[in-house]
Amino acid sequence: MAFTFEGRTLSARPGQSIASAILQSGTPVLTRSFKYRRPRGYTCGYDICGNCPVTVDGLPGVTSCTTPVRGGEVVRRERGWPSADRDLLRATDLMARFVPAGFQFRLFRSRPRLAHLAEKVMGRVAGAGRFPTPQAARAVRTRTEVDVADVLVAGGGVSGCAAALGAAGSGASVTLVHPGRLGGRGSARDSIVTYGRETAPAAEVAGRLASAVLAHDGIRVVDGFVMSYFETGVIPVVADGLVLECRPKHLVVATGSYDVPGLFPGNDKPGVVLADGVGKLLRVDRVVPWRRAVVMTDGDRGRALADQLEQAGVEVVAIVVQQGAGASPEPGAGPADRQLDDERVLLGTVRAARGARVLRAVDVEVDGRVRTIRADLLCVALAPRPANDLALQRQYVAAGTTQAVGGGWAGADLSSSTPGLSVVGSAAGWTSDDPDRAHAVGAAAGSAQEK
Amino acid sequence: MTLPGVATGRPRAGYDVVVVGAGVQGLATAYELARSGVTNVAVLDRSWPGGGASGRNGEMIRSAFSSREWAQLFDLSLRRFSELSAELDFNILFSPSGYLVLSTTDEELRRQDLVAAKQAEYGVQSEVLDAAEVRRLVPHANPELARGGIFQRRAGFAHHDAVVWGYLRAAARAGVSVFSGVDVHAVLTSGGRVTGVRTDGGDIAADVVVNAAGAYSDDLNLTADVHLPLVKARLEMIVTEPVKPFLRCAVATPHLLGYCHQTARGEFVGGTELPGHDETDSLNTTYHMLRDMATKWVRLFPDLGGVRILRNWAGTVSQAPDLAPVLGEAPGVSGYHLSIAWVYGFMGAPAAGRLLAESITTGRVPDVMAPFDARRLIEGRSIAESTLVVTTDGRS
Amino acid sequence: MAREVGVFAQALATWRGRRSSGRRRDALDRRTIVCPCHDATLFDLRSSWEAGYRHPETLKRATAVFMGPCQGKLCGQVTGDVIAALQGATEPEERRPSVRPPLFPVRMGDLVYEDESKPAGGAA
Ligand SMILES: Cc1cc2nc3c(=O)[nH]c(=O)nc-3n(C[C@H](O)[C@H](O)[C@H](O)COP(=O)(O)OP(=O)(O)OC[C@H]3O[C@@H](n4cnc5c(N)ncnc54)[C@H](O)[C@@H]3O)c2cc1C
Ligand code: FES
Repeated sequence: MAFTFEGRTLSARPGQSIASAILQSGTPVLTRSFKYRRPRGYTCGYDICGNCPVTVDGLPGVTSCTTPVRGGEVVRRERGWPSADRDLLRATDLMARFVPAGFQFRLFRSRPRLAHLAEKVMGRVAGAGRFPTPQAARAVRTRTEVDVADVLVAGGGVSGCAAALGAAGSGASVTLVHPGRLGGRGSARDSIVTYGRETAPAAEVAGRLASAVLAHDGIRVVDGFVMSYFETGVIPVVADGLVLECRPKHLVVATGSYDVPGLFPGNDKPGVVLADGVGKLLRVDRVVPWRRAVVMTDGDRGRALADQLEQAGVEVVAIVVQQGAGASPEPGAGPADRQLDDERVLLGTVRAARGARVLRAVDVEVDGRVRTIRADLLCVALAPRPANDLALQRQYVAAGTTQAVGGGWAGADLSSSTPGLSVVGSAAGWTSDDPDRAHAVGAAAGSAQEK
Repeated sequence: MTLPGVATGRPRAGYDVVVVGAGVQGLATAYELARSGVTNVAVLDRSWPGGGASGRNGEMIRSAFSSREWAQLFDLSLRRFSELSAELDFNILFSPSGYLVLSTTDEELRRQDLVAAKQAEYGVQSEVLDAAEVRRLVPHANPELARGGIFQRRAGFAHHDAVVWGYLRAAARAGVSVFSGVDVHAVLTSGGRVTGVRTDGGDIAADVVVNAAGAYSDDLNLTADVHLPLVKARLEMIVTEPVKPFLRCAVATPHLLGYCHQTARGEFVGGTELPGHDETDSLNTTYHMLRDMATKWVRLFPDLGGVRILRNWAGTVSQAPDLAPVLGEAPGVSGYHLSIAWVYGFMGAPAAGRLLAESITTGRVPDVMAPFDARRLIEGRSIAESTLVVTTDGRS
Repeated sequence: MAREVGVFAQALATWRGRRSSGRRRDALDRRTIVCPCHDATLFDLRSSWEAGYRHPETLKRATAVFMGPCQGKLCGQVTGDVIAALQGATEPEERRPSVRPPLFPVRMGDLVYEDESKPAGGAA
């Protein structure tokens, strides 16, 4: 399959994402940032970070990491003048000192004309020519349909698929919503998972669960995303050309997790990629745009990613186990101690990502000394956080207003207190795949629905 | 502390004036009181300043209304907006990009000359635009819906948080104490006079209490035995991802019951309403309003069909049957002043704060403010304003 | 719990301990992006906090975290950790800013009622 990218013809395998095809062609910069015009590249892999919007056939803001290549489309990058590679407005970054958050409130306060002018300039910089063509805009239309399933499962990863099978197995009608191919993040994991009587790598289990779901008559699979949980209990699902209005008796949230970025200077450079994004590129898109990697981690996850990178031919020069992170009071029990036999492991702290436009090296501090390690990938493999947004919205509605629900930062278990809601898998903070447990939760939800 | 200017510690046992509610109304009033020399003032809010409707509104500002009462009050406000950044020493990002009230129906087109003539009579400058002129001003608008309009060049929008923060800092500099996290449970009265307020942290004495509690102002009134026909209403808005500047001015469409503008950051921000009101104080948003907004904004600006909505939020206000604010001393309780029932309370705040402060300090009610007295609601009189994008549900 | 809450709180504290002062720290914090959607930096968060925006909701409005295309999916946890670190706690004392619809950006055209002759409301 082929598509046009800024005048060049690029090819892609069916199912491959637009971002992965662009990366494969040797273009690491996918867009420019909103304010300072910093170069940004592939980061999260799952439409989380906002670092990869491109314009496709005149429609701006298309998430390139999750949108598969269709063939024949015209793709160009946004923000960047004359191009996203070389942006003259990048100069604004050099002025970062003078334009911190809130600078606009101090600017020209007694010069209304200048203030108004400054505002117009800011608008040009931020909006930067993104606008749909009239044809593209008018083509965005959907039908609305009502879905009558008893159980709605949001998320089709290992846990979501298992829960859907559990619910359907107990006789409930089930709708499962998932963007893209079923399997989710599990499709890129090698960890060993037990499901029923089988024990196999997560990717294999994910594949088997996905096939079982697709083959099941009682499960409707929708390629799309759950928009929100609204008052009156309606849960609209947005799919291609379709808005599905679901009013399930039971909602199973299996929305997985979000990767947590690292906090160090240069943490947004193209080449600094979150763990799930690395896994997806290697295993799902099957593109390897890197040669030398540093992995940053706060637990066991770093080593799994390092192994995947090496299998794909990327040299892993260091696994930096962040000090002060994941520290355990018991000596010998912390992840760092468990990994000391691995010679790639450094107990230290990532201090900076270096490189003018894209990542060239990583500064790592070990025992008070900073070493600069050359690398074109810094894989950030910190413990992820539960994707608890949908469950929180369910709670806002239960509470009558948004303000009555406390906490919500790290995603405590939200399901126990709310009838008609279950949360499974990493969305519930489970630290490893447990399809049997998800299946049981789904079965309980399904059998609670009277026929 | 929740914002620069918010006091640390707890309120004292007494103040000259206690203002309930640190929205734009309460803060503007406190600031103007301090400016006229009354500085022993406490503003109490249970949330963070601006956490009510003042931080959730459409930011639109105009004075080109069809009634004398509205036009004169809001024109004072508009004039204040253009000097506010300098006065508060804080750029409130007032953008005098103009404000267009679209005409869509034959009836609206027929009436627009008349409305503009009345505005001229009230001293408010506006221009009547025909279809071609509207097209030049808002080229992306659907010509079937943008058939004419009344354009007020000096009007526009400002950053709602900045206005709140600017008033807050300036009031604090002038000696006002603004507290957040203080819940007022009741207004205390004795023998027809206000004596203070009861809070979750104890009683606070004051000879003057100002009710600027936004959506909750009626609840507060009831504790002082003041009965006005007010309802709580929820309003909703959407904001899109930033796009190139395509909409220069603020636009209101009475036909679609909508109002919108594009921010300096490039985001399109718009809200719509349905006939009647959504009586609740919930800050959850609703699916049907989200679809209503998308449907109407794409009808008006077809190109927006391809632009992504990032966020949808709700705010709540209190409304009188005629949708006009209630401004002035409460009937039957001396010392208890009201700045409530605001549906256009963001644009109205600079004027209302000044007028209310003047009436509190001098004891005389300024002419521009007089029509908004609460007695009109008790006596069943209403102020007839025809260019609003909210309907009265036939209750007036 | 998937992650130890306040991991960054600790990391931040260590970092502070070593290079705790002045211009150099500011320069590094300016290069540390908390919210890539809006280019809000660690410096922005810290200085807004120091200026008095000491509540997740007001810090959000001062720095625009949580308000980009991802609506805080990426910056939410880090922002919480930074607030916790500044409060000297393991988790912020206050609730996180509300999760608002839609959970993913949705094109306006996708939500248009197909029957355009039937206005959703208004004075037609
Ligand atoms: C979606 C929406 C769009 C709007 N668009 C516009 C527009 O474009 N232009 C315009 O001019 N207006 C607009 N408005 C209206 C405008 O926002 C309000 O009229 C205005 O903000 C009212 O300000 P306020 O200070 O009276 O109330 P609020 O800002 O609501 O402040 C009231 C404060 O009182 C506090 N409070 C309440 N009760 C108590 C208590 N018992 N104890 C302690 N504190 C208490 C609350 O916490 C709150 O902070 C809009 C409103 C909404 C919701
Ligand atoms: S990273 Fe902050 S809103 Fe997306």
